Amino acid sequence: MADMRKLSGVDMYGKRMGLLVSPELCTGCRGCQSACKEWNRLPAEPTRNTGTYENPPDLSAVTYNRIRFRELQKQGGGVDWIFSSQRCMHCSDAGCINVCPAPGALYRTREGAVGFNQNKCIGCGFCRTACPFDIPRYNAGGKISKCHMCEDRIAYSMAPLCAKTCPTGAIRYGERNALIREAKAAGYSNVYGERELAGLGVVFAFSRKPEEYEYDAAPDIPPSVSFWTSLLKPLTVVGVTATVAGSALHYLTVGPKDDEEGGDK
Amino acid sequence: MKMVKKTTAFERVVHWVLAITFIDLTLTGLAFAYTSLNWINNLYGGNHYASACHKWNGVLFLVALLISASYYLGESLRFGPEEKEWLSKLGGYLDKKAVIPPQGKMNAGQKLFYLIFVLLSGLGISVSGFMLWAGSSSVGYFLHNLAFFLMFSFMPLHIYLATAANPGVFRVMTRGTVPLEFAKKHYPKWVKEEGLE
Repeated sequence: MADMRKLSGVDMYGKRMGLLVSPELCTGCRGCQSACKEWNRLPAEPTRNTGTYENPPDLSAVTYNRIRFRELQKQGGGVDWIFSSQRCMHCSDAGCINVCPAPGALYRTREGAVGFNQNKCIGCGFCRTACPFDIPRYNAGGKISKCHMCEDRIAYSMAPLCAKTCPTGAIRYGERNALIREAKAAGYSNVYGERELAGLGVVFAFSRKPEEYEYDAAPDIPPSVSFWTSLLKPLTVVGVTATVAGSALHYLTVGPKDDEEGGDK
Repeated sequence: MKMVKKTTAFERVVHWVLAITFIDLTLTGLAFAYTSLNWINNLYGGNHYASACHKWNGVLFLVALLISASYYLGESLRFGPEEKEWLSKLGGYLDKKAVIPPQGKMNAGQKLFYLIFVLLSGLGISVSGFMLWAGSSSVGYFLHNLAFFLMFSFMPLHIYLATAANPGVFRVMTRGTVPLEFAKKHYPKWVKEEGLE
């Protein structure tokens, strides 16, 4: 369950900004990938052709977003070629922020994005463990690298460069609530990300099941992480307090073992 | 007063290496796990230095732990009917009139505490710590937190029992000697076996 204290301020006035991804409008040009690298000054990566137009094959410390290419069999013959954007989802219930041991290394921006500060990152890797979408990557210095929704652009009311570049409107930037309303008006009854993880910052107009775009239908914080954050973390405080209090009570009521040598008689 | 030697100097040094690294690891660990306590890490010069301290003290802790196991493990595993009876009577800690069966160099409570909260949890927290050091790991994250919960929750019990609850016993880990009368009362089987009388 989402920790409401951590969510406070995410969308207090319904003005949270977000991205709407519409795979059916995407032509697979990957202008978003190039634009992202340009704005964030990220180098290209040498990759190998593995028989797909999808490239690069995965996110990395220098690839914050990419388009997944999927070929799905159409009913009654033929193939659907599906393109969908993979990147940080900017969850409201952001597991990465919740587990980050270095305050300020991962944070929420005013617009609702999840930003990062590599100078504060200690490279522990917890955010990758806690991420339901396997997004965080680490650069050669072990520092967090991921999509930050161009926090340095949106802070000045400019669209993230992927959305700015997209020639078909497959990636659009705007007020999250308005984007969801528009997607629904266009006939997408279930907008992926509207409620997942208490609301993703990146929402998707899917016409198929999320799995067909390689997205989990019910994404959640991994159990290894929620076991700590919602059970063991508070229980440790209870445990250590109980032990100290129990010891003190024992001393005051039953009292220590009295020995002739060391007792205070 | 005739004194008998309970611990060697080497054993005591190893104990305090374990204790000091444990305190250091706990302080930095708490500062990482509970970010409201992150100010603790300012004592180490910030999160980056605290992280380095946490890792390398972890190495030191594991080395000391393995050394301690070389002489405590065998004794801890000697668990007979007298040990079981000690446990069933909770060592007489809740009932001063209880008749406690004679114990050896370590009593049943110490043995169990060492096996679970020191050796097993210590190995768990060290191994999982190295897994996390090597990179992201769900298993490492789960184990590290679980072992931390066990060790941190129960360590105050060890401190209490070794100080205020048993006046005179702290000498075992400082000078290493205790009066013979004290030893006969606390570790009668050991005194007999070693022929210290």
